[in-house]
Amino acid sequence: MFEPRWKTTLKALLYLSPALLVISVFVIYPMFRSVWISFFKDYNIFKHTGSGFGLDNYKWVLGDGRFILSLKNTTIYTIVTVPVSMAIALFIAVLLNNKMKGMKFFETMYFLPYITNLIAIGLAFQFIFNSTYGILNKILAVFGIDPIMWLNDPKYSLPALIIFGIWSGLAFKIVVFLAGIQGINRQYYQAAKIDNTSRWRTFTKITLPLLSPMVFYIGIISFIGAFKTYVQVVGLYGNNPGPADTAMTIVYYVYDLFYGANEPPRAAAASVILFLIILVFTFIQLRVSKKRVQY
Amino acid sequence: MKTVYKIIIYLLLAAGAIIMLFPFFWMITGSLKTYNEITASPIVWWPNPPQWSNYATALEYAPFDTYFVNTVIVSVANTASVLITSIFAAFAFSRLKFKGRDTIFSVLLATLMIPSQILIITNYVTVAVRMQLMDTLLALIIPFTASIFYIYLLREFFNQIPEQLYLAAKVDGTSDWRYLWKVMVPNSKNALITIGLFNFIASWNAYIWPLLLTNSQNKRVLSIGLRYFSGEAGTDYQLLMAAGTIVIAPLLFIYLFLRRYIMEGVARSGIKG
Amino acid sequence: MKMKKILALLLAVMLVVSFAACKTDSNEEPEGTEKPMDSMEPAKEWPAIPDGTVLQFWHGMSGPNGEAVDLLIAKFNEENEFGITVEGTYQGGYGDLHTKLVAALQGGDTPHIAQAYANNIMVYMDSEAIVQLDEYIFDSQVGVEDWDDILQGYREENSNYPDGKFYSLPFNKSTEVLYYNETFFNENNLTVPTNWEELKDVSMAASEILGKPAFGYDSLSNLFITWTQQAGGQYTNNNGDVLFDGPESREALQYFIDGVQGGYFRTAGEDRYCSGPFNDGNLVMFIGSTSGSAYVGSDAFEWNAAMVPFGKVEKVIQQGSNMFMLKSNEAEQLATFEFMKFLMAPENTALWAMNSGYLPVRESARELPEYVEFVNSGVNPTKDVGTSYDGAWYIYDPVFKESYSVRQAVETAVEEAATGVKSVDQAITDAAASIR
Repeated sequence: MFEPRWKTTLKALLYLSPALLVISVFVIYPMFRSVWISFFKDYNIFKHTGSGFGLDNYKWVLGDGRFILSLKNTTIYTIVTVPVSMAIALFIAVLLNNKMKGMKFFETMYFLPYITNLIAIGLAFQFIFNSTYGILNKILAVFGIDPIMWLNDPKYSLPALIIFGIWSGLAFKIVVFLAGIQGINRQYYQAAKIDNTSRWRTFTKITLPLLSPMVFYIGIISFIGAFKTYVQVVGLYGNNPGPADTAMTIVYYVYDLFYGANEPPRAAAASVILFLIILVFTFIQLRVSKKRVQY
Repeated sequence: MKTVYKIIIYLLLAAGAIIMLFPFFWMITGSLKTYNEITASPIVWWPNPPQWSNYATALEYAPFDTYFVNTVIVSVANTASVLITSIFAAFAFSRLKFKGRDTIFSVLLATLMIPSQILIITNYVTVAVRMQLMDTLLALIIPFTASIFYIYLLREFFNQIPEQLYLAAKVDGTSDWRYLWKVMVPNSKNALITIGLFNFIASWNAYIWPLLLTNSQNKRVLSIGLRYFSGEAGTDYQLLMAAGTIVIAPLLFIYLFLRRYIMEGVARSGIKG
Repeated sequence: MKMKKILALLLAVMLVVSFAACKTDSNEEPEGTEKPMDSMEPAKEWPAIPDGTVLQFWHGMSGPNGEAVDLLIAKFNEENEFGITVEGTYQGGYGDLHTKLVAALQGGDTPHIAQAYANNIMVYMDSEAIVQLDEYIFDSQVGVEDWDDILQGYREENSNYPDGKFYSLPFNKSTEVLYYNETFFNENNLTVPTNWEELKDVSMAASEILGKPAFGYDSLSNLFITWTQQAGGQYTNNNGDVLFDGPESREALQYFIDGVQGGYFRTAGEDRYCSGPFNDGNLVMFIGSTSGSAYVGSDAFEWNAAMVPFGKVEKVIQQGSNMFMLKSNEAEQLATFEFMKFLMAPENTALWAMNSGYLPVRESARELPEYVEFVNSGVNPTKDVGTSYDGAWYIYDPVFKESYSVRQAVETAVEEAATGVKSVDQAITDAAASIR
């Protein structure tokens, strides 16, 4: 009754071919080139010639204090931003999923950050974080906390970036979660209603499980994205990623290595290391999900 | 729902909205301030008087009208192609059981793990040198016609449609193609519009690639125009805010227009007969 | 496990495809052995420039600076006797312009002339598409008139390449000056400081009155580089030797840190540029680039500029980028050179200085009547101060492979010391050690 497997495979490949073609040419191929370059100690990117084939660049990067710093910063950033941002977004999506008036208005508000210009956002946050007149410190003062030099103090520059990161990641997640929640087959809710199930039980036993693929998608994507953070650093800090590089992320480091110090092979090596780190973590996440995600 | 709950929900949402809105508010008020008002300490909340001329001045810095047309063309073409490639690919990943499905998906997912900044130079060579597409709008469209980011998302949405529908259709002898266009796509209108919008916005705001691939003013896009306000010595914030507001206004408009479709759920009453 | 298989597969495929896709020559590419594009005989016969030649000029100037560039380009297009037309294209700020050039030099469309920092130009030389300018500059027929009229520091900086030849020429140069709040100074009977002692005294007095630090320095790396040399020390040299790990740099940095901890000096910090707090009256003195003068000013007070205070030795940094020529054909290259000469001609470099944030590249330009009048009008005090530095006082970053990283390291050192993360000694030691 169903087509034999090989025919399905061929058909599938046909459907996949446009995407595969584009991604192969514009992502996979350049990836390989980067990896290739990373093995040359000296590489002339204009003439495409290199010398010193080996692992020198990897050793250099792994021994570079700035790389280690950026690795530390990025890891902390990711571990904090992703779960927190997801939790808040889920919470808001649930809040928005009701039949009360004005929800559409609120949804628009929550989506606005996604389209607003990054530099404008960065400027606004510079104001928020300002140590003398920033809103954040004013709020903290109410609780009796002394003013914090968010952008100036090496201890707080990463937290400032984290707060900014959580904020800027919300819009996308809220929209996806909300769409996901609203895409759940009404039948399930109707059945629950008939059984007189409580709201909390409905949420935990029906909504969450059925939403789990979406949650998982967001988790993976956000995690990968967080590890690749770059524009947020530029938006908040411009050319100087935190005092003494305390808010420098790995991609910022890579970019700086490539175009600032003009060291493409080392930048490539750092990218490969980043790639491997993300790969490992994502793999772990995938394994974990196999047990949790339901369709 | 109890009134108490309602009030709490409104309060929470309002508080959140203020936080989300703040930078947007900052941008709009900033666009009407003078440079000194923006950088003033203590803070100047409201421009006094509002400098409407900032908008006119900002528009003079670069040919924003040409940029606008180009940006529209590129974003529309981009979005259309992404939707097509994503529909096909997501369908394959979602419904077709084929050999190597998980492997191929994982490989594609892995492509997200490389920072795009490092891929740019090679892509430049591919598009500008090998394909000879330097300084064309086509160059701005081609590399972005497919993205696993959206394929993955659409796959998840497709998966929400019950598989029984598909199996039943296959029993009936319906071809995959028919099923895709008659059942899956119509039932995923929301998701498609959402993905389309995200992609449109990303394309609208893309900067580095258009900068590298264009030289002529008549091929450039809005995001490049925004760069005219920052220089070595400082940034004309007030003009940047004005230009920034102008640039995102169309996006806001599109979002408001389309949001009906995005947020409204499609009522599904069960398995269609 | 599936993922392991995928990983192994990926690695294997990567290696295979990499070998196949990339033709690679594993030969050593020595730097700086670029030869002139074809064999140049002495007493060269220059080609005729065809009428209607179009030249592409990539720059990073926007806003008023961009308008000034357009002004100069229009003037050249009108005045030149060869019928050359120059087309200028804005390619974003310096960073984006650099990215664009790196991409274009991979075989894409390159311009005839562009703007860049010397250390980046050195990188572009790897493409073998950068033209060495000596035979143009010193040629009896087409060469630069009154070559020594161009500031010595600029001439040195533009031949500061591995082989000592000229690969660029000065275009938009700037320097640092001391901006001060004249109104405040007059009201409080303060005199403008001319050396470290005076700077400290005046800052302390002013901070007392203000209730906050009175003096700021925009660029911390410049602070380090300049004040170390003002203390008699050194920074780096063309070989890439780190020469700042000595007592002078510690003296200089300690002087600054004492001020930060004493509450009378500050960094720009979260304000990013000192001009912001200066305009608000929260700062009454700062050392910043002359190119930033457009952002300085307030209705509340009068500002003025003075030479930066000096230490034991008079030293001040010279900044800004230069212009360089890319290969095309002989006639177009000559045309490009004519344009470069035009930009450096006395009346044009003066015009440039009067309309942009930059300084004239020639000494004689300062004496031109229109420039003198401009300076005397007092509309921009930095123009006068910027040109009164003695040529011998200028310092610049020697160009070598790691020069960018060294500058980064010293900037970090100052930040670490200023935020109290490290002691002055530790910060400098670590900075010197970090350069690998």
